[in-house]
Amino acid sequence: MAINNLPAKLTIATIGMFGFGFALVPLYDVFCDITGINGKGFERAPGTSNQSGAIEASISETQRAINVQFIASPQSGFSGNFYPASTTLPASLNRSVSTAYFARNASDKMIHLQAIPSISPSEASSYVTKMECFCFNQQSLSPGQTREMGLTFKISEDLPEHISTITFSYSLYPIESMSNEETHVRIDSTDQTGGLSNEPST
Amino acid sequence: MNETTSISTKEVDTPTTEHHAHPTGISRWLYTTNHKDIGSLYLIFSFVMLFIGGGMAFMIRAELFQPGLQFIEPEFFNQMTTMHGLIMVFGVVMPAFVGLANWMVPLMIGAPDMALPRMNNWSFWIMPFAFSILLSTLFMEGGGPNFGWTFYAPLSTTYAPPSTTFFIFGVHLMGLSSIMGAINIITTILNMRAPGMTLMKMPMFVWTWLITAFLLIAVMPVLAGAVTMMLMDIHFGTSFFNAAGGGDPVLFQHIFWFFGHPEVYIMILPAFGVVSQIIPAFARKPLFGYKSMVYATASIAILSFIVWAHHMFTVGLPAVAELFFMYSTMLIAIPTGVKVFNWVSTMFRGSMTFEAPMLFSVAFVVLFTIGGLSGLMLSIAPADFQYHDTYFVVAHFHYVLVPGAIFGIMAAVYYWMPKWSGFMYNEPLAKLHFWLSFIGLNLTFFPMHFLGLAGMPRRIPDYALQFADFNMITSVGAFLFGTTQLLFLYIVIQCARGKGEPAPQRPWEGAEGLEWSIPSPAPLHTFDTPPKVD
Ligand code: HEM
Ligand SMILES: [Cu+2]
Repeated sequence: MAINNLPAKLTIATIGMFGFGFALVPLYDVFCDITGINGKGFERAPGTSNQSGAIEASISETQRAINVQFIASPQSGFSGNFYPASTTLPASLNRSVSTAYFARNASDKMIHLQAIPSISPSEASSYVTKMECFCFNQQSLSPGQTREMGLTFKISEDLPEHISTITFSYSLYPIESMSNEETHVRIDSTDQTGGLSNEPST
Repeated sequence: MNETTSISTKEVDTPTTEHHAHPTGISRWLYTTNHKDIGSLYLIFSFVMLFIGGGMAFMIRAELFQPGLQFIEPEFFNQMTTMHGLIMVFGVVMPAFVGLANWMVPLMIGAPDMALPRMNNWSFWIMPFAFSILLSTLFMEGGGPNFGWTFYAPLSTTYAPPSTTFFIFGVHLMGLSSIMGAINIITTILNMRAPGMTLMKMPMFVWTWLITAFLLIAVMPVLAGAVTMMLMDIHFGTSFFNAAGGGDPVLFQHIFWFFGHPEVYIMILPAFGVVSQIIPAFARKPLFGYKSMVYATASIAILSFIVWAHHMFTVGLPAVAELFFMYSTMLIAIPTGVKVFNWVSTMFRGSMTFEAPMLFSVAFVVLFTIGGLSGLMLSIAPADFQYHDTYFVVAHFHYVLVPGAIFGIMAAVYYWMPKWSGFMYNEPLAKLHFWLSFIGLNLTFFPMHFLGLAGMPRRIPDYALQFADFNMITSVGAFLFGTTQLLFLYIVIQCARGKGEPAPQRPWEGAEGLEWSIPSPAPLHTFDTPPKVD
């Protein structure tokens, strides 16, 4: 009878909860995706390239001007400079805007960098589409090299009325000689939503 | 309910009736599958850990006695706060309650032993290994864990000392032990009750442990998952919590607190059960609102799964989430209030006497409520932006854990010790123990409220001068509370060695329940033929 294998059932429940702990990782992503919180909700437009675009912002006259601010935060372990081409730009809705960030390697070694984006207010993140972003890829800089890294995005006209300023913040992390395959960046994998983007690499 | 339960037990075995040959000496304890022996082992283990964890608290308070750095290095200070928390939570409170469950659950439901006696032996003997590993990290290159008992990533991954791998292994082992203990307790309670003991006739202590055991099975595996992810991040190049690789450190906090909040209820529900046994006994009245007690305990347990982010109000949650977790947290105060109301109503117009178990239980009700109220203050999200990571939080959780969980354990020890040892403990000394502890703990933890409100951050080895006076009071209180526990040790040893009045079968006039139907000391084997409960 059922009652005899109670310990077995409880063991299965234990294993199930262990699995649930891991399931929380993709669930958390899905949740952020659906709700657009945590600044992770933006999508990458399909079929876009990663080549550097024009630095200048291409703006036409607007019905509603959004003030876009750019923040760069180099993280510890990175010796060099990291800064936006411009700290603020006006942007009109539904028009693509291109700008850039610069990174300079001040060390005498080859370094690999990964930028992690965040958008605030987080509510705005689901209305931002990035066609091109240096955060989609790892950046490798040889000693002394300065790189201009492109960023092209569009803000949807559905952006709620009360938002007039959007801040793009990028944290730049040095990463230790991970190969490109090994670093799955979550933004890179929004198309496979729900997939565990950081499984152990082989 | 048990107070209306009449008991017809057949002649109970006398202590001399041995069923098997029993090994003596060390191998008796190594190989034992007897629930009473294992219960004692757990309690002794917990007592030893209390003094180790207490010694660490002593160092913390010595360093904080005055502003400035005097005795220990900040790096070592961090290891002390971390280890103190880990040991008190996993090494003292949890094993003590498992020990009480081992001793008392079979006696209270009329079962001859636990359902899975061999697993019971395993779940105890894993513990000394787990804690030896944990403590040994202090002597390793780079020191022991220094990232707080909540081990937030990336402090515990990217920036962690090399010994963290051993810490993770230790956490795995003690998680395994808790889960095995929980499976055993659930199986015992659901399968081995004496005929006639329906679920709604079970003593409250058994009920609270049943619910606690389910909580353990639900959340200990999640903790195991969290430390496994840390291990993979550290050694196998994954990036669960590493932003540079696309992971998210905030995810760690969600997973940790999904375990962590139910964990705080794991530490308090059995104490609720203990005082629900003791207050009726010394008020000589049945427990007021038995059914509502059961339902309140179950609702607290269920609610505890949806409030975890009240520990994370300041990580940048969206406003809806702040509101959700704020209201759900406040909701928990309702079943908690029901419990407090029931305890007070049980005492109301009772013919009360104040022996040591009752003193600890009454203090439990009063002081735990203070802790609940500061919890309510912390649950107000906008207010928590001010209180978070200050000594106010430290005051809150020490008020619910010291006069809550620890007083619950001490009350239980005094209440059931005569049954375990066959001798009465020294009542005047026990009362002295109570009053010194009571004064000591309030001196220690009450000023922490003021420190926190004034802005003193937690987990720092030095502080601004304006905090000096209250810190000194706190340290004095801590030294008093700590040394008083040596008196507790003395009382327990004296009682265990038989220095005291022989205890009658039922030493407490108003006590009800099957455990009082067997002789004192409880013979090694009890209820071989199940008692009949009507
Ligand atoms: C009415 C019931 C309670 C409420 C509303 C409540 C609320 C809270 C809140 C909001 C915090 C987070 C404070 C912060 O970090 O800023 C907190 C922390 C804490 N609570 Fe409670 N609590 C309650 C009962 C309890 C109980 C019964 C226990 C344990 C027996 C407990 C143990 C803790 C612990 C250990 C922490 C601190 C964890 C840490 O950061 O190290 N609480 N509580
Ligand atoms: Cu909590």
